[in-house]
Amino acid sequence: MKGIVFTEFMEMVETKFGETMLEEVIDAAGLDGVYTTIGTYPHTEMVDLVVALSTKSKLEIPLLLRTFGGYLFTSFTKMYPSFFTHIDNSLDFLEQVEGVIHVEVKKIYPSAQLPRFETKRMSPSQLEMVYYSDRRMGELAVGLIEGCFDFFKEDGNVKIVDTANDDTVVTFLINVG
Amino acid sequence: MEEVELLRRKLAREKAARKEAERILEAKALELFQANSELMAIRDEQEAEIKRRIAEIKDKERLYRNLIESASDLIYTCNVYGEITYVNPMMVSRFGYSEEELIGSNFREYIPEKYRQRVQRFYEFQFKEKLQSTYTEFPVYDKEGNEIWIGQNVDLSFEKDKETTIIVLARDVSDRKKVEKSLMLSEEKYRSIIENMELGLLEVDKDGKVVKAYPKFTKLTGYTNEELVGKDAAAFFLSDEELLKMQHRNSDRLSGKSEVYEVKVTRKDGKEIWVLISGAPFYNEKGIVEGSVGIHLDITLQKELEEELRRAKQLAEDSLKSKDLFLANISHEIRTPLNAIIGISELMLESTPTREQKKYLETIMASGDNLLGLINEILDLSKIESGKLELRNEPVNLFTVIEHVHRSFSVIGGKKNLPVILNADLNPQQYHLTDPLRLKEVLFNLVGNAVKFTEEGSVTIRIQHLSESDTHDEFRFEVVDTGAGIPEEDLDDIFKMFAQATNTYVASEGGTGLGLSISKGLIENMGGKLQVSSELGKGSSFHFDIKLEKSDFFEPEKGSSSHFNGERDLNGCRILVVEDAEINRFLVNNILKKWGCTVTEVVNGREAVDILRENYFDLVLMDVRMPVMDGLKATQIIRNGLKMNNLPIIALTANAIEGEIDKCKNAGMDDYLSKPYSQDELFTVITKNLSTSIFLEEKKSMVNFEGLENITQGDKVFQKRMVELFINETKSHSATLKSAINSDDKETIQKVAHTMRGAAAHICSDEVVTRLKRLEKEEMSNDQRNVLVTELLSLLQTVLEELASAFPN
Repeated sequence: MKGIVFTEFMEMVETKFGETMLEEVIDAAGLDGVYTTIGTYPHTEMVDLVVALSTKSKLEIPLLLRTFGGYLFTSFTKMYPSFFTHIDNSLDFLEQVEGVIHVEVKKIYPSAQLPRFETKRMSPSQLEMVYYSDRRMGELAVGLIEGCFDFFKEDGNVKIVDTANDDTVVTFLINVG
Repeated sequence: MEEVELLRRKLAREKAARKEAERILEAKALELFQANSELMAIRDEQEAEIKRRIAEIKDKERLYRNLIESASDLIYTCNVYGEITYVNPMMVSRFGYSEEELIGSNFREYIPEKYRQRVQRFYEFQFKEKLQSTYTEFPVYDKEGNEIWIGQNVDLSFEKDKETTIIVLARDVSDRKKVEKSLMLSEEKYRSIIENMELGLLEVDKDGKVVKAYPKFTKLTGYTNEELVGKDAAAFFLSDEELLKMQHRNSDRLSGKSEVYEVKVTRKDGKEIWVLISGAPFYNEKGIVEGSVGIHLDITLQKELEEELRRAKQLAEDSLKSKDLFLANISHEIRTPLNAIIGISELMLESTPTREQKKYLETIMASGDNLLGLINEILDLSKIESGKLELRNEPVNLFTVIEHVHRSFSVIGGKKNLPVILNADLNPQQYHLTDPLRLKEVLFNLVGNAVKFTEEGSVTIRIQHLSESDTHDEFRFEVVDTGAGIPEEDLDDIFKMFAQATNTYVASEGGTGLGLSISKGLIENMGGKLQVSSELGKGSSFHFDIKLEKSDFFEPEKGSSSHFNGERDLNGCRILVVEDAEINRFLVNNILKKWGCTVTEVVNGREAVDILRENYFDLVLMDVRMPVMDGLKATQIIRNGLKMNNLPIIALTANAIEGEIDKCKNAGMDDYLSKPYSQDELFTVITKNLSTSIFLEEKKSMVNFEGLENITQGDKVFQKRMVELFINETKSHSATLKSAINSDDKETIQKVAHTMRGAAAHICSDEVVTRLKRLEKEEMSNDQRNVLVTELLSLLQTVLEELASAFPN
């Protein structure tokens, strides 16, 4: 898992739960907490961190992941603004995540293991999106999608309509107002 | 947790993160450096590859340029406006313009006005349709204004974002065009010739159906092209009979033969015309016959003319035939009285006439001989003229022939003190096939003339052996005299009939004037040519060359010759003379009696057959033309009816015309004698033919005197008694036999023969005994038996006569 996810998680914990919580989560997860955006780390460490945060904050893991997703999307928009310049709505953006953004990411990080998305436009305002990943981070994706609504200042909602294969395949139905 | 502790931990994490980031970046930098180095190496490699490729392309371009520059085809390029952008050297040399003059000029300028528009439209079409490649032919002018026909391939290279280039590959096709043009002209020429001649052309397919009838044909037949197309041409125009003829020919024609034939055709108006058709097949490009073209020429007029000519020719032939017949008849009519004149004169000369009478008789005989010669010559000429002369082909010793001629004229020449010289290059042993009489006739004529018309000097008979092959010899026969010669202006005429050169030859010398004409004709029949050269006052030379087949005949031992020397004696010979003309019967009777013959005369064939049934003769002299029954018919009955196959029958014919002799031989006659005949000839022909008959046996006695002597042991009285008895009995038996053959009484004949045989065996010769034995025992037809009995009676008659003279009283 890319280092940026870890650094952004740590920043979110520090910002939203305080510096002390961050130290406790790192300790609870049994990690040293040293991450750099250009590095790559085992995704189990992220799982450990999220579990530790849930324990310390008494908040549910899906909620934490969604929250982190929204935070992460905002970070992306700041770090990689070129991906957002020619697009003005969330559904168009989401449709090109797999075909454009992931292709560009692969160019920079050939070894990156990215989730795969399939999209199907049901109507101008509705999109079906299927998530495939062994890391079972469907909730993180929901957070990211919600972050996307916020970025384009749209009133949208995302629902998990189906899960399969032990949560490695998750189907979202996305509506925008 | 202490704030300081928090800060410390955070700082430591930041430091560790920074160090890790630096480590990662350093590793990345190294990775990038290495990647860059690899890229630079690849770039260098690629640059080298590019250089190599460029060099290769340049080489290829040079090669292609060389090919283009040295090509014998015209190669150039143009832009879309037709402006020339490149020319190869062939263009320069063929067009006569320099490269500078050509490049930048418009190709249209070189095309003659007449063709320019067509060519332009052609290429406009190619552009419009974006055709990759086209071919067309048109003429262009070179710098000197000569027309060159070129055939050009135009390829368009349509490249994106690039001006279209026109690549032209052209070839000089002037020679081919010239040939095509002359072909077209000649086809045009023949077409117009044929169309303008009075020849009707009809084209039919291979089933004989009309494909096209040309104008002259429609005029010829009266039908229009539309009426004829699709019709079966032959069935349409021809009668069944002509159709059959055509069908046979048509298959020939389709098999590739062309030929000419004539058919009768019915016109639309019903009129029949004759056309000459020359048909020839025509072929498709695969060489398979597609049909034929018939060329029809109206020959109706010629056909009518031909028919008239044919009739005229028939008329001429008929009249020639009647001329032949006339000659045959007239010669017969003349020969018969002439025979009597000459024959009787001969007889009278033998009957001791007075000196004066003798002179008259000799004149009569000489005149008769002359007249006979004339008739013979006229007949010969007629035969030569009508091509009916038949030459014999028998082994002849040329040396003997020449010697005979030489000997004959040596005597005549001797009387004039004129030497006749023989100079013959001949092998006396070699025989050749030819007609000896005719050859002798020619030589007699030539030498005779030479001797006759030469007073001083000599006459030379020269035979040169010109050449020799395995089978043939060629000789030149030449007769040279030192006589008066023949004037040049007469040389052409001397071979004509009755054309004696009267101013130099003395008319009183005689001769018929036909000799040279006949000689010329005879030599031509022998395959030679009689030629003459002469100088007035110096003499003449006649010669001819003939090729003769060699014969391996060898001269037989000289046997009994027909030339009879000494006394003529035919004593006891029984001869039947069958002759309708009394004067001739009288003549021959006198001659034969003089020679000791027993002569019986009858006047026609019927009487001859009747008398032969009952009487025995040694020989028959048979006239051919007689009333009631002619000699030919009579001979046939004698041979086939009476079965007298050994009886010699000699034809007496006055008709020395072609075919007469053959007719006699075919009828069964043994020989012939042409009237008028000399006593010599008559004697020769009789003895010659008797040689195979019992005439010669007559010298042998029919009485077996030896047997008679033996049986009587020399007792003369007994012999006489016995002979007396035999004579009486034989007379009585003979009478019985005579009446028995009249009634075909076989039994009586057998019985009598049996009865007679006992005594005859002792007294008579084998000839008699054999016949008795055969009559008694052998099965035979009535006719055969009658002949045998007749012979027997005749022999018995002889026996009786012999006995009568041996035992007088």
